[in-house]
Parts: sequence; structure tokens; C-alpha cells
Amino acid sequence: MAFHAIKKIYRQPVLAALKPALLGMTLAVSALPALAQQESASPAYVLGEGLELGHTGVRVGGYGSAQWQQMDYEQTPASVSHFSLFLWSDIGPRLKFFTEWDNQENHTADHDNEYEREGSRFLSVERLYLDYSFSDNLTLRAGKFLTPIGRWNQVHADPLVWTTSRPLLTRDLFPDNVTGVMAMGNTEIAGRSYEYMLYHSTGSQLQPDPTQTPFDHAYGGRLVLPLGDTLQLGISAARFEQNPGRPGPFWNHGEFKRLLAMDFMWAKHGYEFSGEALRRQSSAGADHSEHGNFVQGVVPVWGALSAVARVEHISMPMMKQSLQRSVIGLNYRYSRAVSIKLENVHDSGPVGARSGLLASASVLF
Amino acid sequence: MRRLVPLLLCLAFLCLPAFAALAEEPALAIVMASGTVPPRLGREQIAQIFKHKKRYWDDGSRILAVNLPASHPLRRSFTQQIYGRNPEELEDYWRDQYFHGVLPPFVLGSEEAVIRLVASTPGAIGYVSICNVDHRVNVLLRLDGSSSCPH
Repeated sequence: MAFHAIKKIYRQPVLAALKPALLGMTLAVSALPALAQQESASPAYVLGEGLELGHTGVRVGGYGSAQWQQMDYEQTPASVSHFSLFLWSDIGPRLKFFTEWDNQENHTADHDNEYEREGSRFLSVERLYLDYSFSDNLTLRAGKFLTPIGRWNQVHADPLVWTTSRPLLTRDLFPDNVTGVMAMGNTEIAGRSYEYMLYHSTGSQLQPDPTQTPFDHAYGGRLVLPLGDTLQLGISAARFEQNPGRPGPFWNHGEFKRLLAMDFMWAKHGYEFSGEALRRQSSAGADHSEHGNFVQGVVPVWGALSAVARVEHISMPMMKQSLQRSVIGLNYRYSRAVSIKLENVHDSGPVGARSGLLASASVLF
Repeated sequence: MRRLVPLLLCLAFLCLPAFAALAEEPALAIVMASGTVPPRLGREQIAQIFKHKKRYWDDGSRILAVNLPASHPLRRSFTQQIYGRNPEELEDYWRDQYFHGVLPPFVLGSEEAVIRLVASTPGAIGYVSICNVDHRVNVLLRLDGSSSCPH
């Protein structure tokens, strides 16, 4: 009886979207009493640091988030939920295993939901890889990993970013992940440590996200340059083929693309200023090339509350003209692991001006 | 776009004021077990070690960095001198690293606990007040501070 009542409540879109966040918090809270009995000098569980499974060296963690949105052109609000689980382990001093599984559910009858990926429910492998570190200068990674293009995609999890909406260029111009091999490491030049990544993919994908078009064949690299204690610059480049499944107006057989992206981030005392710019050129001609950019500022308002503003621009051939987006919102980081966001999104593009409200709650557990 | 210009100007304006003044900084010693060959480390290398960007010593052995609690005055001084930030400001960094399966350095509750662990664990590195350094540890680097040891 009670089970059916709960199930009925969860069928409500907004409450259903809250499931992952609630589940994450429940897991975290339920683990606390048992853990409190362990040695206080070495706390076994900290929200946002995962939990070691016994003394196996295997850690489990993840995040849950619930998102809600009401756009002015939609009749009903839409909600989306994510539940992402990480599992990782250091196997000896040089080998590391990491995997992330992501479950997403869209609780909406509206199919014009452009602020999140389409598809009602799916489970995908976001990451699954093995790292072998020869030294700090060289680690080899094999498997499925996040595409090292720009900074946002490397940290795109809901509790880690300031806004519920994702910058368009990080969503539309390359897939979130890539399957292949990567060499990466840190190297010191003139007293500064630089980070590099070089990768190659032949295109096969394990349990792919159905809403994304993976690389067919790709290679690329990324370089991160720190400039002082508070500023870092990133440069990413890639050459790839991406087959959406069938030839069409936006893809030709044998077409390949070249991508160049730059990003920066400055952060100090709770203030943050960051941005990315990306250009993607196609072998099929200039009308198949795209570019986009965004800048984002964060200002602490009071305590854990910060104000966020972002301006975006993207130009894609299928749109015939540019899309401008502005985002203004608030982010309340209750703790290191819990984040509540509210923002207004305003678009002006080929279909005119439109705007909407987005909100989300997320927890890193 | 037009309505965002004032907002961005406000953001820039809010960023201008000078930030919080630095607190008094006690003198710090970066330490390893005595008897080990002390590696040559500068501030940049220390910064990389405590961010887990540098994970191996030159002989290929694994580095174990040990921290004090975020509220400890020495931790605050260490973080300020090495990173130019407060420990709380590094939380965003560790939150991002967690997403990649990297956890912050191990935390011990006191300087004595740091000295004991560092002295007994190959590859371990920590920091304590220069006043508490004894025969069990070697000083790799000294970070100046404004306070002096009580006599």
C-alpha cells in the first residue's frame, strides 16, 4: 500500500526528477551511523569523497541531480534527472581503474526540450578506462574517457558547474566522450608545470549515450598552461570524422573536421571568470563549419550563495544565423557536495527571442 | 545581450576591491623522514605534490602527502604561501578532481601525528611548525612566517 503510494508520488514529473538527488542523500546519510563508529582520526566517509568498499581499495561515489525547467514556449514544465555512479581503484602504485555509469530520465511529455538531451530514459557508460603511470610525465589511458576539448567538458557533472544549463558549444560541437587511447602527463618548463593530453580513437563505443554522435575516427590533444596561481589557459585541437548514421544535409561521406578551441579560467576568493572559444572547420566547405564561444562570471553574494552570469554565442550552418544566449542565475553551494541552482535563460536566434527558468538540486556523494 | 552589459560591469566592479588581508603566518617546515636523501624541492614542486599533480619521487616511488585539517592555522598558512589561497578556495579544485577519482591528501589531526607518520612511512611528506621539527624528520624547505618559536 505504502509502496504504491510512494510510486504514485514519484510519477509526478518534478518529484520523479528528484529521485537521484534524494537517493544520493539517502545513501550518504544511511552510511553515516556505521561510519561514525570507526576511527575518528581517519573519517571513512566524507560527502563528496566517496566510500571505500571495506578494505578492498575500491571506492564508490557519484552524483545525483534533479533539474526542472519552464520555458516560455512550453506548455508544461519539464524535468530531468541524472544518477551517476563512479567506481575506481588504485591497483598498486601505477595502475588505476575508473568507471562511471550514468542513468538519465526525462520526465516530460514535451518533445521540444532543447535544454537537455532528448530520450526518455537510458543508461550509458560515460567512462571506463585503465591508467598506467610510467611517471608524472607520462600516463597511458585506454578505454572510454571524457573528450579533452575545453575545460567545461572535463568537469561537466551537475554539482561541479555553476549553472543548470550547459554552454551550447560544449554540447553541440563534439561528443562528451571518446573511446581509444590517450597519453597524458605533467611536464615542467621554466619552473612551471604544464599538463598535456594526446589521444587517438578508432570510433568503437561501449554502451553509448544514444543522444550523441560519437567520433568515428579521431585524434587530438590538449595543453593546459598555468599563468600564475589563479589563471590557467587551455588549448585543444582535434581532427575527426563523425558519422551521424546516414548521409544528409549536415554530413557527407568521408567528411572530416578540424577543431581548435581555447579556454581560460581565473579564480580567486570565490570570484571566477572563465570562457571558451571553439572553431570547427569541415572538409565539406565553409557552410559546414561552426564556431562558438562563451564567457562566464561568478561573484560571491553572501555566504555560500554566488551570482552567475554567462553570455554565449554559437553559429551553425543548419541555423542559418547565430544564436545568442544569456544566462543569469544564483548558485547556493550548501556544502562542498550539495548545490542548488536557479537561473534565467534568454535566447535570441532564428526563431526569435525566448526565455525560461531553470532550477536544479544536485549532490556529490 | 544589451541588458547583460550592466551586469558584467557590476561583476568586474565587484572583483576590484582588494581581497582579505593575510593572517599572521607561522614559520613552516616541509619535512620527510630523517635518513632519506632529501630531494630538491621548490615551491612549485610542493604545490604540485599537494595537488596530486606530482605523484612520484625521482626514484619512482609513490609520494604520500599529508595535510593538517583545513581549520588548522598551519594548514591555512601553508595553503596561502604555496597557492596564494585559503584551504576553502581549493575545495573547487578537489571537487573537480573527485570527478576523476582523485582525492585530497590524507589529513592528520596534529603536527605530532604528521611527524610520526612522515618519520615511519617511506615517501611521505608533510609540513609542521619549524618549532616542532626534531631528529625524526629532515627539513626539505622552509616557508617563512611572522611568528617565532616560544623559548
